[in-house]
Amino acid sequence: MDELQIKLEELRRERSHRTYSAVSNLLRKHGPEGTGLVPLRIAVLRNFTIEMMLPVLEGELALSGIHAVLYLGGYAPIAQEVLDTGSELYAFHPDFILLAMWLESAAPQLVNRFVSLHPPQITAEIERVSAFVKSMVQTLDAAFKSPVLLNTFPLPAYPGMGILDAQLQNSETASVLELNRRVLDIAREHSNVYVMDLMLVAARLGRAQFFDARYWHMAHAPISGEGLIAVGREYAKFARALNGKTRKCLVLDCDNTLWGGIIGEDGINGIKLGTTYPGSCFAAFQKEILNLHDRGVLLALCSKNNEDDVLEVLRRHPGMELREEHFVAREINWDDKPTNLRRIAARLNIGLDSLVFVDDSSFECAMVRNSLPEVAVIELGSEPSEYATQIAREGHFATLTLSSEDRVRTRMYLEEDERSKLRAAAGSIEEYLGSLGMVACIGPADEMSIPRIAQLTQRTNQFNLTTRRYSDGDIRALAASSDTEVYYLQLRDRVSELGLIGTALVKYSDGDAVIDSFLLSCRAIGRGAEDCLLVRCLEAARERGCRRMIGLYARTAKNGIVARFYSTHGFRVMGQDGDTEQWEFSLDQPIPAAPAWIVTNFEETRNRYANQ
Amino acid sequence: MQTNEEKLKQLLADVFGIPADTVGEETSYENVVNWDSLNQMRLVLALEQSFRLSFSEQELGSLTSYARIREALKTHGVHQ
Repeated sequence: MDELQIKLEELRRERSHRTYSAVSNLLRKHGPEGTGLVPLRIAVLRNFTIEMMLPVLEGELALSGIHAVLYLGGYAPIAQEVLDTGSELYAFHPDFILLAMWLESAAPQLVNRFVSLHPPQITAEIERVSAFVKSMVQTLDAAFKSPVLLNTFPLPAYPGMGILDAQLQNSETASVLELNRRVLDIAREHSNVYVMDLMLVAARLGRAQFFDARYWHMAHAPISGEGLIAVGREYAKFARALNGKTRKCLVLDCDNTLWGGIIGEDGINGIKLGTTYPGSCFAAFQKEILNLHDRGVLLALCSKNNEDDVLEVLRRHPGMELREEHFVAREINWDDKPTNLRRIAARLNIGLDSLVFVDDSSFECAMVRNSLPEVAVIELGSEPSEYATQIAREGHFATLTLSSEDRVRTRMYLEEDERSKLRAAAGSIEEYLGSLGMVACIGPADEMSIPRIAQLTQRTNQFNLTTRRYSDGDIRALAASSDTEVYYLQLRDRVSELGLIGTALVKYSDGDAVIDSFLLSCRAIGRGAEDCLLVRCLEAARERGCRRMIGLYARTAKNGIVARFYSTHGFRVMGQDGDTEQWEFSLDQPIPAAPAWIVTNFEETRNRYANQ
Repeated sequence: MQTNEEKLKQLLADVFGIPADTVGEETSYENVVNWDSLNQMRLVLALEQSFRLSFSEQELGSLTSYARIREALKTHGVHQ
C-alpha cells in the first residue's frame, strides 16, 4: 500500500481538496481489506448536497488508521430511509450515523421568507422541525444502537429584517438559536446522541466565507470549499473520539515554545513570559495547555537543555502557569527528540500514537515526523500569538465524556512514581506487591460507573482482549440486559486510589458464559488485579449454572501483551474465527485462586467508593 | 519547483484517480470515466483552492477539459 502511504504523507503536509480526493480515490479503489485500516461503517443521512465533504472525512480518518466505509442517503426525505426497515440503510448496518441537516432544506420559509411569518407560524415551524429531528433520533437509536451525530444550524449572515432583527423579540437569529437549543436538548435526552456544532464551525470561519451561493443554486450544495474541510475535520473528531483514536499525552518543547527566548542563554530573568507582549502570548499558550491538563490530557517535557535551568523556571518564574506537578514525564537532556519521545511513551506505558509533539523548530519537527510517523506533530509557526489557537484547533484530544478519573489523571501518574520507589526498596516482586496493600472492589455497572466503563472500552488498547468499543448508551443497555453482566474493577492501595481501572463484559447464552470484553487500564498492569476480575466472572458464571466460560482474544497490533492471557489462566483453545481465538474453561474444574496480595470486595449493587 | 502545468496535471490525476502521466491535451469529461457532475464540483473546489482563485458562475460550466481549464486559469493570471 505504498501508493496510499505516499498520498497520506502528502495529505499530512497539505490539507486540500486535491489531497483529500487523492486519498479518497485510493481508499475506494482498494477497499478496507486492501488498505489494512480498521473499517468504520458510517451512514450519512442528509437533506442537502454534502458529497464534497466525504473525501475530507475519509482522509482525516485514514490518517488515524480508520477506513471509512460510507453509506450516503438519497435526496428523498430522510424520514423515508429511516422509517423503512427494508431500506439500504438497514442493510448497511452502520457503526456511526451522521444526520446532516441544512435548515434551508428542512424549513425554507424560516430561512427565505422569515419576514412574512407571524409569531405563531415561526413557533409552528420550530416545533415541526424539532419534532422531526426527535422522531428520527428515536427511530435510529432504537434500530441501530449506534452513535448518532446531529448538528446545529448556522445563523443567518444577513437576516431578512436587516439591523432590525437584533431589536426584535421573535427575530430570525433568535428562532435559529431556539431551534439549536432544541437539537441540543434532544441529544442530551439520549445517551448515544451527540451534536456537531455547525453554528460554531461556520462562525469560526466567518459565515460569509462558510456559505457558497453558486453551488447552492446549481447543486443544492451550500457550503464553501473551505467550509467543507472545516466540517469534515469536525466530523472526524467525533469518529476518532468514539473509536479510541483520541491521543493522550502532549509533549512540549521549552525554549521558544513555553516561553520566548532560550533559558540557557537568556537566563531566568531574560526569557519572555508574563503579562505583557510578547510574554503574554506564551502565558496564554500555557493556559490553553492547562485546560487540556484539567481535561485529563497528560503533559510531558522534551527539551534540549540543562535540566536544572528548566526546573528553575518551573519552580521560580512568576509568569509560569505550568509547574512541576503538571508534568508526568520530563526528558530534559541533549539526546535527540525521537529517542526522548520513545522514552516518554515507554515510561507512561502508552503507544507512540497517543503522543502529540509540539515544537517551534522545523528541524526537530521534521526529524520526529520522519522517524516516528505515529506521533502527531504540531509545528508552531513564527507567531507566538497564534500558539494557543494552533493547539486548540487540531482536536487531537477530542473526547465525548469527562470522567472523574480525567480530573485527577496526572496525580495518579505521579503517585506511580512513588510506587516505583517502593518497588526499588522491596526485595522481590511479590514482596513489593504485598507491601502495596491493594484492595480491589468488583461490582456490576451502575449509573456512577457507566461513563468510565464506556470510556475505558474506548481508550484501552494494550490490555484489551477484544478491543470492542462501546458508548455510554451501549454499556447502559448491556448492563440493563438480563443476559449480560458488566463488571467494573476498582483498585486502591496504600499510596492512593487508582480508581476504576478495569471492566469485564460477560454474555450468557445456552449454558455458556462468553467474555465479550475484558480490559485493564495501562496504569494498573502488572499487579494481578485482572486475576481478581476473572475469578469473579468465573464464580458468577458458575453460580448462574453455566457449564463453561468462553474467552475471546482478537489480536490487534497493540494487544500482544494479552495474547497468552487465557492459556495462562487454565483455558483451553477451542478454535479460531478470523482473527478471533476462542478459549474455553470448563466450570466443573476448580476455579483458580485470586492473588494472595489483593483483598477483593464484591459489591452486589452499589459502588462503594464512587462518592469519594 | 513544480510548474503550473505539472500542478494542474497532478490535480486532475488526484481528483479523478488516474495516473498523472495520462493527463494531457486531450483529457476531457468525455474520456475520463470518473468525470461526472459530482467530481466536477470536487475539481472546481480543488482548482480554486490550489490556485487561490474563484471562478465566476459563467466559468464554472466551461471547465470540462484540460485545455479549457488551462485557458480559464490563464484569464485569472495563472500561466503555464
